[in-house]
Amino acid sequence: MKKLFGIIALTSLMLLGACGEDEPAKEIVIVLKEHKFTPEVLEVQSGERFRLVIDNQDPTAEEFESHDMKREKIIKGNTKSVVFVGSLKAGEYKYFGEFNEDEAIGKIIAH
Amino acid sequence: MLLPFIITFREVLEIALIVSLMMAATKGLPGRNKWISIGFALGIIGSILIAIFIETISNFANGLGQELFNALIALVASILIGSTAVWVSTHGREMVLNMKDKGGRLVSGDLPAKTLSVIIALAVWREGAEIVLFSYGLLLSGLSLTTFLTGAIAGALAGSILGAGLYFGMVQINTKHIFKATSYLLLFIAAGMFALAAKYLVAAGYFGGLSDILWDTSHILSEQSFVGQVLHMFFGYSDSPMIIEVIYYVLFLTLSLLAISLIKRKKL
Repeated sequence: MKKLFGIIALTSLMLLGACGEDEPAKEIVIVLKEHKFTPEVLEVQSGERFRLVIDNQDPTAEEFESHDMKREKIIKGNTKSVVFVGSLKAGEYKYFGEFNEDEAIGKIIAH
Repeated sequence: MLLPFIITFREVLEIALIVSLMMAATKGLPGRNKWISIGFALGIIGSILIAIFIETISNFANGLGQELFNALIALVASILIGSTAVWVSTHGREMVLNMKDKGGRLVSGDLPAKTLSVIIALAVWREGAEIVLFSYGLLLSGLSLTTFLTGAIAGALAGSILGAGLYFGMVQINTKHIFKATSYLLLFIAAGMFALAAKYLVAAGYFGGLSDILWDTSHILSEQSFVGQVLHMFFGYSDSPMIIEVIYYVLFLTLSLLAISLIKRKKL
């Protein structure tokens, strides 16, 4: 039991150690309207850190999800939300809106 | 009708999995059902609140509040499930005795029974807010209430039936082994959840240096395939885990198994 609480302590330490991450990253905006992402294909530099701002202009909520980038985030209707992308290796990264999987699809290409 | 079915089915199944294993693991514990029901009620209220305030949560920490919040829920839930599993696996003998004569030697106070409520509430929270927001969106986009309800209720039912099946399957196990079986299963689930927390922390900008993919088995067994999803639910299987996810998973299992063996040795 105590060991398990040790994990909590360890994690909080790790968290503290990892703080101070706040150097400003570039912002890239993707608009979601009528369940479609614009731009559908986004090109970035590999290794670049950026904040993906998803501007949901639909009245309905969407879940931004990417298995390739390992991200998932709920974005309420008519709001913007940020997905932080550390640094991508060169390649293609697909993402989609989980609530509208057929229409809401896009990808990021890192060069 | 299909989409509400799929989404509610998937989310309810994840909740049902935890609930049924927790119920099997605490079979015979006085007051179990009460604490579980309280947890459910708290979970549903919490899900609605999270759905309402999701934007506020998101705006914390430079827009990464949702990731941190998800990480926190996964961390707390995995640690509570883990400690309950450790408790159950080291109190197996008392639990069996308790089941056999109903007066019971164990009182619920021995295991902080409130932990049960918290675990159930957290399990519902993890998936509940998503169901609420998704449903609200569908209704807003003009899907008829009947169509929606048919799909959602069928999905929730299917998820619950599978969960109930798991519960009745588990309690069929010889009383001697049931607590061992359920607690070890719970440990694996908790370890997977702990690793999930690492994934959310990476998404929130932490552990940048440890976020490289350790291996990629997506061509052998995709995480999105049926088997992949089942393995993911039970053992936290990932087809391309990051280094930190693997560290978290192994750390969690090692410490829990160590705790079990230490407690058992002390009892002898």
